Amino acid sequence: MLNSTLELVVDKKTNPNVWKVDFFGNLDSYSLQTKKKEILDYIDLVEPATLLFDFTGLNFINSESIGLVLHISEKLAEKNKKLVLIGAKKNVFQVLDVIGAFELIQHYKSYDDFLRNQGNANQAN
Amino acid sequence: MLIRPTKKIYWNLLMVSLFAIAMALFLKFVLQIEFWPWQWVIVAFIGYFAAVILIYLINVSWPFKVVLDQVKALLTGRKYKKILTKRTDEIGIFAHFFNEVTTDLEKVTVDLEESKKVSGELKTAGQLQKELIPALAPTIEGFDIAVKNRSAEELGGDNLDFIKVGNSTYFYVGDVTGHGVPAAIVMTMVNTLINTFAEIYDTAYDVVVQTNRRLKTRIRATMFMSMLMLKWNGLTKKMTYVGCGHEHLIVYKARTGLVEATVSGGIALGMLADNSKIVKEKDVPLETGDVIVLYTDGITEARNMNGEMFGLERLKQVVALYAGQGDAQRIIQSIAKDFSKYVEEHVQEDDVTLIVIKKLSEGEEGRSSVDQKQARWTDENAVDKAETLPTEKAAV
Repeated sequence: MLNSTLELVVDKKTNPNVWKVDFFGNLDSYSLQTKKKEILDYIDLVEPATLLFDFTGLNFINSESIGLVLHISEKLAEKNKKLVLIGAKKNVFQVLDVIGAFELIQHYKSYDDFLRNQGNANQAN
Repeated sequence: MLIRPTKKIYWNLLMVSLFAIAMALFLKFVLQIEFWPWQWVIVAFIGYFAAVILIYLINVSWPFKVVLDQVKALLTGRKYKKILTKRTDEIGIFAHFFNEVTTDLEKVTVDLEESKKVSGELKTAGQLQKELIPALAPTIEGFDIAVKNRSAEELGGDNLDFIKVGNSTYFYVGDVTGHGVPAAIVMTMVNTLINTFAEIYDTAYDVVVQTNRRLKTRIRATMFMSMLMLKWNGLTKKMTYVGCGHEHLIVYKARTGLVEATVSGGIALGMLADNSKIVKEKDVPLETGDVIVLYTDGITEARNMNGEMFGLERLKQVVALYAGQGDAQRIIQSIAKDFSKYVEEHVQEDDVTLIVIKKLSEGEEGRSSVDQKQARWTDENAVDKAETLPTEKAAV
């Protein structure tokens, strides 16, 4: 049986331009009951322009959680900020891909890929 | 039943003893009645025990009977009363306990009645929703169609319909975020919108784009619906599909015996205000004997007792095994039987929907069936000789 717990670890200091939130466990109906408010709060709390959800440690995501992630992305976009996903495992990636979530949210294989992309974008500017 | 006497009773007994002695002295010295000493002792003892019994009856037996009578009334379903007492001894504790239990019981009874009422309303809503899912799939010349659907709760989030408009028929299967009341409402809205726009527009693409546009403004930001829509044009004899972030489109090719699983593409309904640049209508080349399988993720994400998912690969293998054997009804029963055997008694966590569409030869009369009533997805008439795949870890 799946372990229906979810831990969130926030890193605000390593990169001043990004708030990185690491997800460990499962995003399902059980964990969402306790963590939904905390996750939604990032919409208002995030200071830099980019909020990054690191899904390297995420084992499972259900449709309701996908809806939540998309909602956060939409709300951040209204504030000229963005949500980025990194490191989704194969099963999580597939579910997000099938739904079409990557039409709205960028995904990078790793944090280094994201940083490299940011570096290239800064150079272009 | 043993009740330890309280301090009060001891005090009472002492008072009675003193009273007995006082009575004896009164009889001897005031009334001048002569008693032998041993007669005094007997009188005193008799008086003492009489007093004990009287006190026991008044302080213990009678109050206990009062409490016991109310307990009996509660247990036998008769009317009972709260017990008023200021006692703090054993009987007082028993009485207070009885009062607490009956108060809690009354609260629970009210909650149960409310819950029954809500449950009744949900059942009615569930029945209304089931009636939205077609009781019969349309009979389309040249196609065998079979449907199986089972909700995880009273109200489901899986959505399907067949809409015949002129020479065209639309088939769609969809899955709303979550399940229960909110998902059922979204499902009903989508069903209504699709049925309406199918009458107005000529292509599945336009139906999907317009449905999405209206839906986005009316549902919660966290909700969406994945969907795969097929359209059969009876004039051009062409099948097309539009994917909206749904599961793969599975097609069994009779000529080769191979199963193709195509990513349906697009983006789920309700995620973007305008999906017109992302969804596309594509052809599904079909020959006689080919079989299309539409499904929701309740199938592929269902788990067995070891926690292993059924998975897309297993579904493809099962389709490859059975799609060449008989009509759509027989095929769907065989797939359902394999599925049921795999999940065994694992709790159904999501709605499950399966649609099998078999291409018949030109002019052959089609048949159709819809099954959303069976508790388990096995049927007495299912093929017994069909080979069942061994349980193995599904690729995740």
